[in-house]
Amino acid sequence: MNTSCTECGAELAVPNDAIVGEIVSCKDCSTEYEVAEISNGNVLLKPAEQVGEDWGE
Amino acid sequence: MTGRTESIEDSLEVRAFNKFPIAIVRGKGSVVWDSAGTEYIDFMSGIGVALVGHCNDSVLAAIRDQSERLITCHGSYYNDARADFVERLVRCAPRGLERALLTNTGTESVEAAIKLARRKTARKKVVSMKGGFHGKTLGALSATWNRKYRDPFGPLLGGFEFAEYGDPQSLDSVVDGDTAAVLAEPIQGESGVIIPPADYFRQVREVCDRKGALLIFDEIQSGLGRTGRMWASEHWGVVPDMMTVSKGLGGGLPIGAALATPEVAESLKGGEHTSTFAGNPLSCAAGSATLDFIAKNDLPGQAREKGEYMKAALSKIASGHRLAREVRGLGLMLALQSRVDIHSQLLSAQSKGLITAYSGRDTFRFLPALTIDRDQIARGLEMLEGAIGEEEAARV
Repeated sequence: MNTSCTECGAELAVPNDAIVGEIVSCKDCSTEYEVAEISNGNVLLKPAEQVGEDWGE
Repeated sequence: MTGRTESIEDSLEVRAFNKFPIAIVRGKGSVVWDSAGTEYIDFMSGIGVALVGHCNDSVLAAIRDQSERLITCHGSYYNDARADFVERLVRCAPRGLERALLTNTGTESVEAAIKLARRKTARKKVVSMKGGFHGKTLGALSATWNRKYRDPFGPLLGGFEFAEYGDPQSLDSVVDGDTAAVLAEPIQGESGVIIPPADYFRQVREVCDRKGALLIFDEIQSGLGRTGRMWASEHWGVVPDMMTVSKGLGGGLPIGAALATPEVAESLKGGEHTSTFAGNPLSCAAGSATLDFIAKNDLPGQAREKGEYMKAALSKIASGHRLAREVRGLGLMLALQSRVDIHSQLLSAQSKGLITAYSGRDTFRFLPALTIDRDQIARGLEMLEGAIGEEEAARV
């Protein structure tokens, strides 16, 4: 399943067997999305929440 | 229950870290204990710092001995512990990197390398990689990709651009006659243990040579045997013009270095880049003991052998769990990427007795001490699998 990144417009590839909660990243700008809902073969993405804990190393 | 340690840190420290609810007070080898005496297998080792294990006996002996002789000595004076250390460091460095600019941390090593590159070439631009992480001081931060680290602190240094990691054509299009250096991790750590295509760094070397840019390898996380070779660059047979190293270098004490060829090093004049604590005798003594331990115990070989075991075990876990996406890594620099957010799995693993690092929201990152034993690996992975299984059951 393909859709577009809302940040940079690049193609976002969503696995055909995606599950709710799956993290999908834009390969161009690294924006992260989460699968919010799957209904009738359609996938609804929402922006993934900012990671709280992060050591960044 | 919040203890005294947690209360004091929460009320008096600047909240630079978002903390897990555990106070770690003791460590030995690949095991740490919290303030309640609970034992944890440590797959994180302070993000790769406890490379030779927590409180390594050889390092402790060196620290004790040196602490009774001299702890601090400004760099404007010679010192025997510092001399012993730089001799060892240069001896094990990639061919040609015969000069060491000592620092205290990884990010400082990167700052030093950037300054040396600009000083040597008289060029301004630094090209680093998308997905790369080099530190959070302003120069290193300017070369670090993740915008959540950069955006709150602009304006950053000018002259920094990014190329696609693993894509030599992208690099060729970004590097030009004003590029002082190309800066890259041989294996990207913070991005989730990303290994480039086999021929990539040979082509990076060619681009740098053709365009007159210096090649800087950031081996702060991947170096010192972690990936199964002393330096990760050895996997591809590419020698850089500079290399940064830190994390495990001091056996737990803070120390770092920017290694360079004599030609690059000689461009720096005395007094242009100094540090109060860099090259202090205590850290240097710990560093010498660490390098000796790595060599004597063939830690690169141990990382290779135990890494193969751990990666195979991780792959078996991944194949049995639909939440697992991919296993990656070399030696004991490994990752398991999940399909979902792993926060609850991390907490679950902690409750079972496993501490591990992570990358972003969906990847477990494993950087155990290279001295970890197979039984500890097996027990830790059992706890990890339990956490993954619970998450899977909850999502059915």
